[in-house]
Amino acid sequence: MPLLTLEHIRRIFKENSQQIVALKDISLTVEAGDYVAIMGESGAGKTTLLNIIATLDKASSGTIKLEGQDLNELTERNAAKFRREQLGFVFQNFNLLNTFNNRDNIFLPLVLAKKSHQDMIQRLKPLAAQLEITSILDRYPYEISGGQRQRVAAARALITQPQLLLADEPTGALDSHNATSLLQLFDQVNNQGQTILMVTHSAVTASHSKRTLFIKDGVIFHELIRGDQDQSAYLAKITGSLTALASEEVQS
Amino acid sequence: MIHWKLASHSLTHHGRENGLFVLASSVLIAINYIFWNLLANHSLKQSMNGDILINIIGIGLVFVVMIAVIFMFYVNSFLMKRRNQELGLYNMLGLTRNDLRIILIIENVCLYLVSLIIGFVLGMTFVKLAFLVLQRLLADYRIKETFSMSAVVIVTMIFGLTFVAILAYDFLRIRQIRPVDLWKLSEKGEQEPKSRWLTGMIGVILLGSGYFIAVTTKPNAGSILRFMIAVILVVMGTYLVFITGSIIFLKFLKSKPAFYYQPNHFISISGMLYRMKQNGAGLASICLLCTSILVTIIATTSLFVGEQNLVQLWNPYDIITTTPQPISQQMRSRTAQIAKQTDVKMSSRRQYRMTTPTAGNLKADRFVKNESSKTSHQLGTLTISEYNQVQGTHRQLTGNHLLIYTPDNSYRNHWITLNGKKYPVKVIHHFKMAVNYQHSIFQPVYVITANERLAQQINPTPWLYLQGFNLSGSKQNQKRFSFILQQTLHLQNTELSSKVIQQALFKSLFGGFLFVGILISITMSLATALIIYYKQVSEGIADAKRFQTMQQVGLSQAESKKAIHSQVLLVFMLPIVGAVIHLGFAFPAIRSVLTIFSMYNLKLLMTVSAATIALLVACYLGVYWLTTTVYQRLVNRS
Repeated sequence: MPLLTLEHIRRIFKENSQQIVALKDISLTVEAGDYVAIMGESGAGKTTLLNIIATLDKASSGTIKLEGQDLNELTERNAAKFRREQLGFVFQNFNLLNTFNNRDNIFLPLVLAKKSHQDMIQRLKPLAAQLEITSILDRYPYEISGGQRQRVAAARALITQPQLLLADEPTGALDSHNATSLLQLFDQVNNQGQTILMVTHSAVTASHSKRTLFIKDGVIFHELIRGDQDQSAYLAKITGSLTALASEEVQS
Repeated sequence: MIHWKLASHSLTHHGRENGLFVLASSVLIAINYIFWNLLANHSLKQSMNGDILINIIGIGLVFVVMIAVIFMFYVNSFLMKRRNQELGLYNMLGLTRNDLRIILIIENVCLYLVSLIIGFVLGMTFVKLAFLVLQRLLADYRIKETFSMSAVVIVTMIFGLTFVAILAYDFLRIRQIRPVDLWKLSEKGEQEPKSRWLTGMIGVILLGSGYFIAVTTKPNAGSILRFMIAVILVVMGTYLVFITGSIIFLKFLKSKPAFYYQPNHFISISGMLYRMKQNGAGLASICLLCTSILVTIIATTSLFVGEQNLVQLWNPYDIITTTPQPISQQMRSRTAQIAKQTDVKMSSRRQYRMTTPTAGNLKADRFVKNESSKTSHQLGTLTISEYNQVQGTHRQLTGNHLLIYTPDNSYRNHWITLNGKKYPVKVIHHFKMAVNYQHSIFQPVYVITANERLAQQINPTPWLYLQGFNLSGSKQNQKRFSFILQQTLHLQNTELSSKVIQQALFKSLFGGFLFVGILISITMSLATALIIYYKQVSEGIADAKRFQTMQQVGLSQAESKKAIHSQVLLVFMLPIVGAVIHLGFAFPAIRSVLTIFSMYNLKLLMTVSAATIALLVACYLGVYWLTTTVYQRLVNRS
């Protein structure tokens, strides 16, 4: 059984009696251990799709299931519980809280899940070592660099050992060096079995995934699978698809 | 034209903040108008004891003007924080500083004019109510409300000057605006406050010594200065303790993982610690305002409620004369004549003589003569036969055994040292004709001896002859009676005490105190409520993003509601708890001050205090509930 299934997802926003179709008809499945990148231009519906998967938004119609659990039917309270237990988030602007030091930022989802302090420490130790953030745990988010912040944010996302890691433009605010090391980290955790779904419009970022979906005007327009290709060949294909997408726009 | 547009955009767009500012300043204008109107009122000035009342109102006025000016600046700083961002943006988009100044002038003039209009409408409506209340409190219905142009002019000027000062302050702020800072604003994180043990300790020491002075000071003429020192120490101590003490306390909580790592505690402790430095000062201000409200209301209400008590204490009989010469037969017949002439009936006449009271201090086991700023008592002696005659009892005293009476029944010892000699003493709880000699601020002490020789030995002063009797007849006639009596018998003001006249005096004195106390308390309550509101709103805006992130990570709305409540409640309870503690230590001082007015009724004071605290807490929780709702709306809006 696939980990995540979306069937005919549709999302309509009503604004001043005007209807805006953000997602027309999206169907996709994600297997456990998969690494999916979703690409598309601004306004294509990428973020709406991510929000629906993250239970932060609800589809107007269609079904969405994670491990057989229908996400559309979750109450607000259960959705919150679901987010902190099953999902991990990495945001473009990190969304770390300045009121907490880095350690407490990472602990936040565990505290909300009412885990014991002992458990928190045990989980953090190997993770912090892997992410190379052990030395900055006692500092505050505003005291560290962007790359470090994103690694702290990644630690916060991974510490709950989520079923699914959701990333929204994770490299958007990073320089190329920090972006590369974050993506290497993603590769690493994916190799360990972590399922990742990320939204990006950087072809390089997408080239780390196993599968790339292109969204346009609220539908999945095209799909690329990496298979046995090396990264540069895969990147070339992604760039090619993007160019094709853009030129089609020019022609039409 | 663009200036008008931008100014009106800013005024309407931030309707709530500006609305509150207008509300606050118009209520302050209204209260100021009421005070100035009272001050200018002729019927009030010409009423009985009108000049005393005008004086009390004058003192209250100074307070109200001070609160108004300070508070307008405080509220303005909130408006300015938001404006700074906007003005910085305009600046970046190409408006010069001069343009910004014009926008600010337009905004402030609009706010001023609207506040002024609403304020005067409110003031002129409520001044009618104020006069109704005043008539009631003073029991004088000849006082009439009149329109006062001078009050309007003065208030317009005071607030005009305040607005100009605020504008000048805003101009200074504008000079510091740098558009570049706008970009940095979101990036820059606030520093976690450092706990400063030293300042914390100093705060505790200041607070402690302020408390100590307040508790140990005895009421006498010199105590005013000591009380002032105590107040200043407590004010400074409160600020330091709230700022540093709360940080130390929160850090302590944070250092306990089992406590800290629970959803509610985790969110609220870190949130409070994050802004405790700026919070501490606000909370201390709320605490001090609450304390002032409590003290004002308790003191003035006790005085007003205790008025009957006091009159009874000072005038156990309707008329009391205290003369250095014996009451002659001629005097008695003249008195009877005047009674007939003024149509009043005299009854239950009593008379006795005592030694002229000596000033000093009554300690736990002795009375020490002393006439200075530290004096708190005055002691007089009389014989047991005089006492029995007045009281209608048949008590016996032998040898150097004594009886002692104080109106507050405070003496407990079985021995007393007087003039260097030790006497066995028994406390008595009743003396019908205990009077406060010369209506001084000293508490009377009566010592009853077996014979005249001992009475003179203990208090070697000339004899004083007292007589007291009751009157029946209309109040007007009673007043005329005492008036003519004083003139005919050539009595000094201190030699005649008339209950009806004193009643009228206390009515206007305490009624005036209570009235001014209520008005000042309303002003301070309003200031407190608005400080709380602005605090909550500014924090709600700051916290909105924080809660949004936490909800993304898995905090449900119900849980955020709980966290908000536990955070806000803790923040809210601190000042009110602080205020009640302050009151606890101010209590002896209030009691002391009230004894100056011969009020020894502890039960009354306790009842009034309990009722006042209950009322304040109820109002406070009301404000809490209202502002939390606003806070929640702000946080959950995203």
